[in-house]
Formats: sequence, C-alpha cells, structure tokens
Amino acid sequence: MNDRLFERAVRDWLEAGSDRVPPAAIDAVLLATRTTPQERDLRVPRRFKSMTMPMRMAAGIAIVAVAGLATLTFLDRSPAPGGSPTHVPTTSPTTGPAATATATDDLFGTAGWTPFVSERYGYTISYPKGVTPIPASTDFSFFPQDKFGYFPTAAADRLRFLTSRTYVMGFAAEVPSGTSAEAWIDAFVTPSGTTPTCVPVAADMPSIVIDGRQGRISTNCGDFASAFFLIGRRMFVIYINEPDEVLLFMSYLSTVQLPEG
Amino acid sequence: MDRDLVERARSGDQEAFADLVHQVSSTLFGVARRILRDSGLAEDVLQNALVTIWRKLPHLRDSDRFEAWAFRILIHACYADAASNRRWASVVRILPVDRADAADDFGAIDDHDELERAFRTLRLDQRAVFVLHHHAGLPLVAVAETLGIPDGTARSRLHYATRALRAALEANRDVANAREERLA
Repeated sequence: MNDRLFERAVRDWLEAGSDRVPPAAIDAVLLATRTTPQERDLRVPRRFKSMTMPMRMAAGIAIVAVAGLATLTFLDRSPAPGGSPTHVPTTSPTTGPAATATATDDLFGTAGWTPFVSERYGYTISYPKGVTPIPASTDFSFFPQDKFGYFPTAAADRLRFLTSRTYVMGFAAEVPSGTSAEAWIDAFVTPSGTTPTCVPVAADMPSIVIDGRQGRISTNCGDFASAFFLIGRRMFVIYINEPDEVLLFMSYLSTVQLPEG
Repeated sequence: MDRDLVERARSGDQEAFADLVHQVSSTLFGVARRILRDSGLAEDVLQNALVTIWRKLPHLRDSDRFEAWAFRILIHACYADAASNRRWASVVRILPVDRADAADDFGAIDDHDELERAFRTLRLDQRAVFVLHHHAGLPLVAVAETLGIPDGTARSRLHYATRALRAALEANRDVANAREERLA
C-alpha cells in the first residue's frame, strides 16, 4: 500500500463522525464557571530587565530592612530561659446539653436532591447540588457490534460533579437470549485488562432492594461499584466509577425509581 | 483566535469566556473524541478541560498562544480521565453472545474497523501525537511544543502509531485480496 492510499484511508476514518458539542454540555460549563473562581496569578517578574542605580539602592535597603525586622521579631518571640511558651492552647469543657442524633427517614440526606428522569431508559435517580446530569444520547450496545468489547459512554446517563472525577451512571440493556442475567453481570463486572484481579460471581453478590425491586450489588470487584436490577429481559445498571465511594453510591441508589416491568 | 477575547476572559470576564468557549469547543471536542474514541467520554473531558482553562487563564502569559495552551490542558485531561476510568482505556470483556454469522465477520471487516481496532491498542500519548498531527494539522514541532515533549519523542510516537495503523490496514487488505482471489 502506498503512502497516498494509506493517508486517504486514515483521513476517511479519522474524520468520520460529528464534532458538534451538545449545547447542554457547554451550558453546564458556563454555569460552573460562575461559581468557580479563577486562580490568581501571583507570580511577579523575577527581575527588572534594567535596574537604575536608585532602584538598586532601594532594593538593597528593602532587603536589609526586611532581614532586620525578621531578626527582631524572632528575638522578641524567643521564650526567656525557664519561662513558658507565649501561646499555650487550652480547652474548656462544653457546658451545654449534649447533641443528640435525630432519627429521620432521610437516611442518606437526599431530601433536597433533584430528580433526573431518564427519558431513554425510564428510571429516575436524584442528584445533589453541583452535579450536572447528562442524558444518554445513544442506546447501549457493546461497541461496535461486539467486536471490541467497548461500550460508548454516551449510552449511559451521567451524573457528575464538574470539579471532580466521580461519575454515577445509569443505563438499561437487553440481556441477549441465551445469556443468563448472572452471566451478563459477571461479564460487566469482570475487571478490564488481560489479567483480571478478581473473578465476579453474580450469584454470590449481596442482594439489594431498591424501590421494592430486588437486585444485586457489586462493590469489591472490578473498576466500578455497580447495582443490577433485572426487569423482564432488561438489565438496569447503576454504577459509580469510584468503588470506594460506597456511601455516596448508596445515597444515589436510595433515590432510584425503576419502571414497571 | 481573538486576542482581545482571551485577554478579557483572562481578567475574569465571563461573557468573554463564554464567547471563547463557543469558538474553541468544537475543535477541542474533535481532538478529544478522536483520541478517546468515545463521544461521551470526550464530552466529559472537554467539560473538565474548559473548567480548568477558566481557572488557570490568569496564568496564561501569552494570549496569542491560547489555542496551544488549551490543547495541552485538554490532552492532560484525556490522560487523567483515562487513568480514572481504566475500563474505557483498556479491553472490556465481551459478552458471551452467540452470533450465527460470526464466522463470516472477519472477512467483512472493513478498513475503518481495522484502523479502529489498531488505534485502540495505542497508548494515549501516541494517539495524542497522531491526532494533533493528522487531524488538527499541527506540524510535528508544534505538536511537541504543545505537549511539552522533545521533537524526537513526538516523532517516535507518530512513527509507532503510523506503523501500527499501516500494519493493520495492510493485513486487512491482504485478507480481502485473498478472499477475492478465492472467489475468482
């Protein structure tokens, strides 16, 4: 194959697809910048390009003055021999009544969260302030045509803080006929890489009940913590990309409402 | 790039930054999408990069170099995202689905699929050089400067990526030719 043919094939492949950014993604950024302060540029020029004699003298005097002040301050703070330090931290006992925990139905503090309705998959999940929901823009499938084993992230609804890398995502997928729900879960949970660090067994995963539906939850194997609910032949999957954030994950899960079968 | 717009955004003008975002977002998204091979991930990376650009704009010394500076932030956001989402950066297990036409699939794979498969085996830093050079149209010297790497490193990454893609494409063409010969 000559260079021209190769370059043409690469260009055709590389330029395929649209570069249009969904307006909602841009809006979320602009909203975030309203509450995100810019970092101040505190750097000063290392030196003036040219220093006149008066400037040199002023700089010298300033250096001497700062050094002198620093010495005086240090001597002033030094404790006298045998004396006690100037500042001694003290504590005082609290005199008021002890705080008591109040039992509440809002176990995970999700009362003020905003519901997100997944139009594509039909479930509802709530999110806290500061999170931007990005709805799925394509159906779930292993991409493309099962050949590479990837799935497009755009197939999942994404809930994320713009200022952190924690995502909670959700989608639903048809479990192919001939594949059991357990096999599907195991395939999803199996860690990436050629030498998986653990082997998931869906049948041994703890049960979880959300919105009256029983499912499975996986928190100790794979790249995500994930919850699975099978409704008919559709597998609903909610997962978080930080498996250690179990409490946050449970908070999200406590708000999930699944569609009727 | 409008220097005045960059200057105003740099001094905290949010409207100027919004205009700037509308000007550069498609270009940045296009680069991220091609490196990560996933529109959803690219969208997330773009958002992270744009917020970082806003935060760090006051540190930008030369407004004329905004685009190269933005590319560098974007590429680093790609690296960071891949590190925190290992599943998308490496191979995911394939579901055990029986396909009646599986045996015929190999012969039907076209160039794009082969290029896609070969590209996904490349490291992100190799992909970044390839995309900045072939898609964004930056000369190798500019690619090296944008990424903050020596020219020789950029050249060797591009060479490796090109070799992998060419090998994949040639193998696919050989298979297609052999099949055609058999049919003839």
